[in-house]
Amino acid sequence: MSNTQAPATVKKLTLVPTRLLTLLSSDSIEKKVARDVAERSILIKNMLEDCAEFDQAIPIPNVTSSVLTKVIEWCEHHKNDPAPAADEKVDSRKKSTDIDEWDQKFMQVDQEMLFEIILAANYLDIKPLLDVGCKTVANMIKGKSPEEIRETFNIQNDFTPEEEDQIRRENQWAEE
Amino acid sequence: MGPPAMSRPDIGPGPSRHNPHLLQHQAQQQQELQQNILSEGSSPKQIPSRSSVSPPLRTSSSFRVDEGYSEDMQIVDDLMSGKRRFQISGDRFILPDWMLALDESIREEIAYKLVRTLATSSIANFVERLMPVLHIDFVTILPPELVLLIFSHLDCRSLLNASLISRLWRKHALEPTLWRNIYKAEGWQYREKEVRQFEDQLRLEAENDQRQQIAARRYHQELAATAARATQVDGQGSGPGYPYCGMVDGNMAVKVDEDMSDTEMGNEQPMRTRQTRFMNADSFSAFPSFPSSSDEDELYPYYPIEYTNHTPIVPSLVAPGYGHPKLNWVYLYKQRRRLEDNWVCNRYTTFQIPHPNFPEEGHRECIYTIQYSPNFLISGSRDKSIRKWDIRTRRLIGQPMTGHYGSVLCLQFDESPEEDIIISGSSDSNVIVWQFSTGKLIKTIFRAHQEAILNLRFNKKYLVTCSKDKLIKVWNRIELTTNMPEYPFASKHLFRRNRIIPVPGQPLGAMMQIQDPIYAPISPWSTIQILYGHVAAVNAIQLHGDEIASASGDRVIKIWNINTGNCEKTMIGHAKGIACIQYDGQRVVSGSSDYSIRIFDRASGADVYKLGGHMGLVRTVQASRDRIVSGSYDETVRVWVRRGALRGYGNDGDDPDSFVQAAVLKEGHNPPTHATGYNMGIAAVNGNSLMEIHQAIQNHQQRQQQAAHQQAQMQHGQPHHHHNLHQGFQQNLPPLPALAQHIPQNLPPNVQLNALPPGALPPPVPLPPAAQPPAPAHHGNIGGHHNQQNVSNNTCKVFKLQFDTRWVICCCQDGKIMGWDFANGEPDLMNVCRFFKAD
Repeated sequence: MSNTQAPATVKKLTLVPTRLLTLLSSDSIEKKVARDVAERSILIKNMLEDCAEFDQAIPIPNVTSSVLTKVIEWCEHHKNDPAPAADEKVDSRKKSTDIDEWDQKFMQVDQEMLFEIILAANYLDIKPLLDVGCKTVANMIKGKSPEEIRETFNIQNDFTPEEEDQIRRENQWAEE
Repeated sequence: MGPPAMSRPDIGPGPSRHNPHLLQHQAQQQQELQQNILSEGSSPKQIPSRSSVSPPLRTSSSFRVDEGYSEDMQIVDDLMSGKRRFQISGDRFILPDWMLALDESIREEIAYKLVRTLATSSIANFVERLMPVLHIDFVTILPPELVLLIFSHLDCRSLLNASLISRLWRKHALEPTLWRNIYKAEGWQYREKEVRQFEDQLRLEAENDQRQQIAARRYHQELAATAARATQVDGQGSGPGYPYCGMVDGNMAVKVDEDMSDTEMGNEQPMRTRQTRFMNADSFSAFPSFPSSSDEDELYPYYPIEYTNHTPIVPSLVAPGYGHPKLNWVYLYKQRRRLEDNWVCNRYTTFQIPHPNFPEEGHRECIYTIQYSPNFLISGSRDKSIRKWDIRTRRLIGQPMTGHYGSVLCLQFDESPEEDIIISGSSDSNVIVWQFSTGKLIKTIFRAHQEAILNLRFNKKYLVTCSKDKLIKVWNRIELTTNMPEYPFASKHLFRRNRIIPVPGQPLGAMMQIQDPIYAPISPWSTIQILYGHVAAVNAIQLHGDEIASASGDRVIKIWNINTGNCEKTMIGHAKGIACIQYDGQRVVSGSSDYSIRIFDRASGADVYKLGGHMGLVRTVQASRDRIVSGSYDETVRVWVRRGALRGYGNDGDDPDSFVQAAVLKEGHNPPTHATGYNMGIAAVNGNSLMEIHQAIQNHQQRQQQAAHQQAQMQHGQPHHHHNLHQGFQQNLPPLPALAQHIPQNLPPNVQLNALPPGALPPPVPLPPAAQPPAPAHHGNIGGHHNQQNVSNNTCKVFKLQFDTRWVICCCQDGKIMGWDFANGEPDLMNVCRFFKAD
């Protein structure tokens, strides 16, 4: 992945400096965005590699303009991040849910927006953003009692009291 | 379909399959909202309809109807003064277009002002009604792979909490792949081959079941069709081609069909029972009946398990997976935790080899060396023989292997079919290569060293031996030709043996001539490297990659490069000779006759930690990432735990990589008690299990006292000791149920008594701790140094031990092999230990 990205960056610097692309959201709003910012999305990056010239707006059919704005804001801020080389390895113990400060602020949005960002990051294939989104949700679960979790996500408890009691007792092995 | 990018092969269906859950599990008012979000993810064509279904949750300018309103505040005023009115249709308000067309900020202002006019109780209701807008159950709206991605950031406890939120949450939170990662995150290893075999077996069974189901269903259909035709076409009940309804009328034919379907159900019964073997009753009861059958079912087979929302309360070994049942990592993780807790809390059963019912199978004298694999154990003894044991039955396999003329001091084996080898070294200074499977002697290397072979290790290419003669030798296991990278061009030994000494003044050509014969193929089992450097007996070596770690009576540890023969590091720290060593590439763990265990850092060579507690020479040590087990001439086996690996380890300033003693496994009698330091050590680290450990220690002490008491009563002598030993074991903890009945009350048969003939002492028996001379060689201090008293008191010196996740097995001076089984006789645990691999 990093191999393919390197030449693309070089090309951008030498041949098409700071070229602007137009993205078209699902509700038909156009967004201008620098190519290197847009290429944080692997989906768009691959699209651009396949078609040499992209003069028309690129349709992003699954993402509304408000979400797209948010996603672009994130890409803008992270456009200079090093390519996630060998991220598989880092994954193993870096599961800890620490998120850098800017991202934390960025993710302070309502739940609907949060889940839409996750869906958009998944669709656009922006793995670091997807990770930040997932970690944010995970942090909303961590350290909470089941009741608090249900409240946080407005979940109906469909266990019978007996079942819930049984599960609680079964789960005690992890409490010791 | 939903967002396509994250495809996990084992997850399967996307959001479209998810819809049933969604409808099933959602509160009424939530549905609308989810539909919106789902449809947004699904198909762009639906987007426009969104605004007509309900007011958009997130407006964008496209929804604004441009009616040219500019005097915004005027509208608010109009509204307030009641000039504009809402239309009411039925019992529902419909917001007028002009209002929807307002700017979001204005609409917000209106709504707020409106809300503020309400009574507080109404506002509470209002907030209640907004709950589904602000709080969204993402598990119902995100595709499963994203839910799992979110859950993959949770730890064990959070996942268990998540598992009791709702049925749907439970289904995801207990997904085996999540728990495999949690298992791995603990730093635990598993046997991949064992897991793969198990899952292959499950898949096979599931596929067979599938085939049976389809066949059964088709059979059923054909019967029904035939019967229907029989009743229709041939109302009188007889006709060619349908022999089985020959003599009956239509009604009867239908009845026959029912009967047949019954037998068909009976046919399918075995398959169901096979599944219930894996699953709990409640998951079984949740099986839906056969779905409507069509040919599609064969192309897209229907797996009832997949749709089960009743993930069993108590996890079992097999989980309903996507597609086919899978090894349940929740269960595996839980059992592994239990096993680790058993280590911490000293819960174990004990066993011994030979089986107490067959003492005649045992070695006649003390056992210096053992190695075990999941199935076999090989032991080498002062009685010159090597024995192979079935570790499960604890019975001897085949005949003892004889060939050495002295005590067997060290051995290593590899039972894999491609290796099939045992290599042993003896005090007779010979090395023997055996065939593992048959016990056949393959090759004897006579006089491999000048004196006793104290230790040996081999890998695929090399055998490394060390000896009392202060040398380490490297032997090739395969023929080396000059085109192989292993060919020892740089070998000091070759150089010497061929006497290529460049003499000043000699012409270069002459030297070349002499050099010629060196570069010939080297036959297997030749010395290709001799490592000089130690100034006393080399007691132990360890092979890791291209490096050899050696420990010597000269108190230093050396790291050598096996290819160049260079000594790359010398580590100093121990105050007396070093008896044993373990090396993993980063850490050297060594045991010494200064009674301590030390941990050295390979990179810096620094003596990082010292573990004190043993009251005698530390003769054998093994280390995993989180655990060190050591055996000593003080007759104890001690377990040490890395502080960072203890649950409840906090930031109390302790070095997470330091080790603390966790248990003393006692074999005989009168071990030095260390209860105080031991208590404190644990207390500082682990508040949670303190009580249990404390309990264990107390019991332990009581047992020790009892044992001491009994011993006092019985005065002296070997038989008493053995008797004591067994009582000690029985008190220790209940032995394995299967074993319990076999443990005789009165041992010992003569065999064991023979283990210690007073006059002939085994070479490696050490000096009594107090009289131990400061330095070298514990090995090879033949006889004379020992006094009689020492022998009669210390009969359980631990010579060699090995441990894995489940067992500690050691051999000692009295000719028996002792084992501690931390599965503690728990059937669930014993059943899954095969999946665990030592870290």
